[in-house]
Amino acid sequence: MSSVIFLQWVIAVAYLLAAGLLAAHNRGRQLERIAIVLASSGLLLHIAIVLARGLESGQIPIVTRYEDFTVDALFMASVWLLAQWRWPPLRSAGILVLPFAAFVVVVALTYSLGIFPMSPALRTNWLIIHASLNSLALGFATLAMAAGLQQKQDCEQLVGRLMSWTFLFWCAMVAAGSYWASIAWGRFWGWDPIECWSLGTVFAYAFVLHLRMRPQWREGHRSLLIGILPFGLLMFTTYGLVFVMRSVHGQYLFQ
Amino acid sequence: MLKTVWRILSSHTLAVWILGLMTLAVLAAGTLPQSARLSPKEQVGWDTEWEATASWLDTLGLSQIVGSGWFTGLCVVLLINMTAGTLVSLGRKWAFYRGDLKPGYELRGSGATPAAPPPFFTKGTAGVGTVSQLRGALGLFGLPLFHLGIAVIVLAAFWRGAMDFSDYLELSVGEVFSGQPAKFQRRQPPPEPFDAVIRLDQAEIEVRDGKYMGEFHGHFSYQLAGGPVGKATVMVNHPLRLGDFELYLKESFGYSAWFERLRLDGSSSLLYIHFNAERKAWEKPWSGKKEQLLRFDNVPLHYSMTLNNTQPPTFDLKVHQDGRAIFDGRLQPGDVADLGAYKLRFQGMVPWMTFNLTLDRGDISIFVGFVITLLGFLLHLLFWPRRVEWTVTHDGWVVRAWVRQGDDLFEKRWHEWCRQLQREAA
Repeated sequence: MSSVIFLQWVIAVAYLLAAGLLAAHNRGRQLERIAIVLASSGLLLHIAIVLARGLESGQIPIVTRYEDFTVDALFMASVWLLAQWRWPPLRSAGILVLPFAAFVVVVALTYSLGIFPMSPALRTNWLIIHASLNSLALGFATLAMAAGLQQKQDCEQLVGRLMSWTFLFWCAMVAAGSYWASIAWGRFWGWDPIECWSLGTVFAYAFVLHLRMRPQWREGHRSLLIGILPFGLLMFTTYGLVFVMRSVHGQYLFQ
Repeated sequence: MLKTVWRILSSHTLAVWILGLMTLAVLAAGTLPQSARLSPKEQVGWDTEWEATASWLDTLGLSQIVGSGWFTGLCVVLLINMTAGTLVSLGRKWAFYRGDLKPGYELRGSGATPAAPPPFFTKGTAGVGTVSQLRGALGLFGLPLFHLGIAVIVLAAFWRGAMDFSDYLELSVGEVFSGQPAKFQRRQPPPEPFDAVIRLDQAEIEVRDGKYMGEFHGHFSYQLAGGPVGKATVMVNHPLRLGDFELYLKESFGYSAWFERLRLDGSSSLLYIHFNAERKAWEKPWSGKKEQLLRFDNVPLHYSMTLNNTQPPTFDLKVHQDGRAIFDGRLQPGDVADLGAYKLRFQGMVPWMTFNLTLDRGDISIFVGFVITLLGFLLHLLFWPRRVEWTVTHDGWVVRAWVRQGDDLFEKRWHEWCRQLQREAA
């Protein structure tokens, strides 16, 4: 157990160092390369930890809060690494994405590292689909937010595209959850608080994507404002809501 | 007048407003106490402790947002706006397809045609004339498909909402169910007859470490519309289809005291009295208490009961009629309690499980809507429609391009191509 804690700290430090090097990359392109290598190494270790956890528990490691945070951080770092490779202007967004991923990795350690058996409702492949789509959406949303905060001209269109991908994955997550609810509970939608907030996030992203079709909402403070709104909703729906509202989802998830 | 109405209904501004309002409405539905979500006890507590707030929410239509007239109105306006907006955009897409729109990019030159072709143009120009090329045409259909999917979901949800039936029932091992309304939590019969007979043969309930669910299955015998008897296992995520109905297993269970109720006329029927048992008490020494007014054959009797999970199980029973004790004793399997109007023979203790019986109406259309929506948006994100037209005349050439707003890749390639032409010219 202590080795897991140590390795998780190593991952967080690797991400933080990589972010620091990215922030200082103006002093030389070499630093940027080192940052990518460092972040990639951290990511490989991160993947190894998640795989080891899965093998140890004998189930998909997205059942507990610790596992959920760890996997979400993995998706955040992966999405950034892949996106900066495809769209180099997004490289500098790592200055924000990587520390956030490091923070989430450390937050994961504040929860129990114990292994808990899954409740019967979770014993289905729909859990993997639903949770993976959620983590993917989180990864894209974090990157979109980070790129938006930087207010760079060459990222303006990319921010919109990243928000669109977030919207797609979030909608797919809601659809998968709805189908799963239909086979587990006999109803595809129940207006439970988490379902309402998930749908609210869908509407918020649709609202923002429509607004962004107008040039004045794609730059400056306005773009920042409308970027924060759906991101905040998405984060709160994923992490915060079960703490403040009683939800049918709460009794199944996150021991 | 009609033109103005059409312009408003199909406007992008209306879409933004409706989406903003829908966001607020749905978030409010997820946050404020909603009468459909509160249990009767919680509802009474809310109405008495927060009287003023509850009355304000009622007045503003915020205590039952989903299903309220204004929320339905918003959905309808969204549907109309989406349909009208999509029809307008389809006209624009058709014009894009035909090249009837004003091009987003245009470059003219005199003399010989440039050696390097414009971006995303592979056809080449042989001589005088116009050659055009459209790539990524699938992207044109992305958003219309996405909006069609949303429309399917909304319409299917309205349709399903009107036809919906779903209710919970608790079944004990050995109990037979054939649609009796009294078995349902709401005690209302389904809108169409439940043409099946089911019997819970065995409940497989395993609790590990007093907390975690292990095996959890309900084994059934069932008969559909007088057909042959079948066997099936119901698990969470694996419902049992019974004609138009489906039976879902819930993660809720307990112990049931099982009786044979003997009437004075000699007839008898089975009676199951359910007790909730916590997971930590499962298959361990446990006692469950319950007080209930039971009315059989129009005789109301007040039961005070304790079921003990001992070996063999025992049942402590006190029965009062009009405040007068008519029975007080401990029953073991086979013992009979004489309650005057009828007798109860205690048979033992069996597990019970909770099920949800639903009438399947149109779920599939909802999921078809989801698939269309996701597919449409995926097409929109993956395919970028780019129409490039190259016209060569006797005294020069002109290249025109039509692309989607925000196509930065095309913009980048176009500028690179222009710079290349400048270099060649220099």
